Amino acid sequence: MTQHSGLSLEQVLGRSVLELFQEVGSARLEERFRGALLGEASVLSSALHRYLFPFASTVPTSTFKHMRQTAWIGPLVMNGKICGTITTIQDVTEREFQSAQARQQQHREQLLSWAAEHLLRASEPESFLHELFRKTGEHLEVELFFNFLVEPGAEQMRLHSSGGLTAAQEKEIAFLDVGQALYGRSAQERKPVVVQNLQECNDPGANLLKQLGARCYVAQPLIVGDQLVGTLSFASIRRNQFSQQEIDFLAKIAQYVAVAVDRTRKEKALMNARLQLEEHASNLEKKVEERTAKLTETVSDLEGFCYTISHDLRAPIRHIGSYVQALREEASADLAASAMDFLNRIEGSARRMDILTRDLLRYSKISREQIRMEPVDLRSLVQDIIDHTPALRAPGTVSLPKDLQTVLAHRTLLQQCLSNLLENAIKFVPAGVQPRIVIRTEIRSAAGLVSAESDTSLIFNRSGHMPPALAEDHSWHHQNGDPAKRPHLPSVRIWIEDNGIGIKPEFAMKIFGIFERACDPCTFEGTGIGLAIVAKGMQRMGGSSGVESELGKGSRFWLDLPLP
Amino acid sequence: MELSPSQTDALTELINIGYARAAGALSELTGHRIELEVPKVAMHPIKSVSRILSEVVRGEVASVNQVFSGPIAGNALLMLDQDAAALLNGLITNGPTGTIGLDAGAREVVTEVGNIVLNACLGVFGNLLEVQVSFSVPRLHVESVDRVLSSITVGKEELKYALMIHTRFHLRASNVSGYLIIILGVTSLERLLEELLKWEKRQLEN
Repeated sequence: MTQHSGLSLEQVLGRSVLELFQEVGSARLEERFRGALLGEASVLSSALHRYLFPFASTVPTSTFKHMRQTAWIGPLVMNGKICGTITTIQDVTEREFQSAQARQQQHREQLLSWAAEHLLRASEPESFLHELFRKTGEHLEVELFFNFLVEPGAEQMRLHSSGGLTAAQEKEIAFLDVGQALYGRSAQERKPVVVQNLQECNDPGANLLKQLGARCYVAQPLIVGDQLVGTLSFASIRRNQFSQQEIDFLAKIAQYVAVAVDRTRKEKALMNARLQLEEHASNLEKKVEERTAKLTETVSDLEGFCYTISHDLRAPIRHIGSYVQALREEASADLAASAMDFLNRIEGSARRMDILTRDLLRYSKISREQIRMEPVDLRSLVQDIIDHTPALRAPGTVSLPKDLQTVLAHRTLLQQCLSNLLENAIKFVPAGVQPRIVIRTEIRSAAGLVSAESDTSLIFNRSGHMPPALAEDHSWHHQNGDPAKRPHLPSVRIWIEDNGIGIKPEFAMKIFGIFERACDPCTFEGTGIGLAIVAKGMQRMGGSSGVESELGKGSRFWLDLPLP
Repeated sequence: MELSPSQTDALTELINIGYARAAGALSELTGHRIELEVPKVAMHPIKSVSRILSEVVRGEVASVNQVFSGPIAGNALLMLDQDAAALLNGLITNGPTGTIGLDAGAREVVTEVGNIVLNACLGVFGNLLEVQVSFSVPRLHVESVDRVLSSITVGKEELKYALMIHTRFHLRASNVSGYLIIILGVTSLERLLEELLKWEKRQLEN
């Protein structure tokens, strides 16, 4: 009693406990003593009472002002009679201090664990940060916090978030230079700044905080990699000091905050980049649309020009032919052999020009023609072509099965395409070889061939030559058009297979181009427009075309059209 | 020996008076509104106590034990299972309520709570019998029910019966249940029941 109370033995002996320590009476603990005189025993836990007698704390490093005590009060019995009370007091200050430390440490770990868990998951890092500051302030029992942010390369700090300040106080420190006041020093030095007993501090940098009533302050720099992103600081109005554990704890919190701030910035930058990209893509799309429109207009103009020129050229070409014919008939007797030869050459050239302009006219007509798709009986169409083309009428030239598939097409356009292919097939054969053409159809699904509907064994084979389709395959293939335009619908493939000279692989890409020919030099006549007409015609009908060929062994041209 | 219905009612009423005092003292001490439910009183042979308790408490129990002596003598215990004791401590001290085990501070709190409840009940009995009863300092032990019961001795009197009082604390929207067990010597018990009858008659006359 005398050791801890500061009272001497003479001051204590014979005196009333309640008189010496009035706190006991005011806390109504005197009832326990009175109960003891009646025989009751009481226990007073430190958790519920803190102390019975107000003695100084025996652990100076703790925040306890008084010694923490657990007390027992019981009757003092002598000779079977209660003659007083006996009180036992246990100093549990160290125990309570350690327990409080452990609870605080546990709470800090829970807070760090919560921060780590939410740091990356939070959809809005801003609200996470504010919650983190609030919880940290609560844990440390501090009234003020300040979060400044620094933009990359900037020399100014912006107050991003704060607690415990009025609007006017916030405005006063809304923008500070890096290095200004205690707030900015941590940013400048990139180190923690700790000021204990701040009201007694002479540092001019502490003046702003003194005005706020702060008594201790700790600031941590927020650093990601080697980049400073801001500072985080806390200040207490009630306490004079932060413990080292609290300062270390804030250093960890600052790391989490730095990551959250960095994440917010990166997300904003990503959002801006995305918006810019979308704008750029939109502008690009617009430009492409404009240019496509111009290009379409130009192509249309060119096609119109081509049509007009070829149409207008036909008359003078016919005149040339007519006059040459007239000259031959009327003046052949008077003309020298060389002159006749010249006439023949003129006539030949005029004829070639005529064919060329005719084909050009056909080609340009395809672009202008209005397409009307309808079911077309392929067998009757091909028969029609054969009937009007003497070279095809020779027996055995064309094999036409009975059950050719009906297709969806523009009749005259398809007739033009097939006519060109059949003419090529009988033209481009080696000397002395009977041209032999097989026409067949097959249905194709998006995945490929579904069925071949005609029988290739019906081929007439005078030369004993096996059909290319059944030969060992050293062929290449090329296609025009985009089958992906109609990916899910089945189509009909029309095969036109010949026993001609075949096509060299290097001409594969070219032969469907206008004015392109698959021979160099060419011994066979031609304008180089026939296959271009086929490709264009198929394109306009929404189909596609292609060829498989092997030099010396013939070619297999194909046309894909929709099923009706 | 069995309690008659009227004896049960009378004991319940008496103990409830004690509980009301205890609840008031605890509320004032902790700053929380604490209530003690009307007790359920029963008397059982001592041999049955272990079995009955094992149906409601799991594992080791925290028991606050107070020996009382004088004209009536016996042993009074407040028994809670460890989870209930930790919960009670957490609720009263605003600390964590999910703690496993009782640290030193928690044991003191549970001891004080038990002390307040036991003092209130035994005080009521003392008033009824108009005798002064002396109490020992309360002690808390954490051990099995069988060990708790085996350590009970009451002077030289033969022990046969235990008053088992199911006790339920209500505080901060939570409930904590336990048992108050008063073990009296045969003579003390008979005297108690006699005085109880007289008290009951007085109540009816009033």
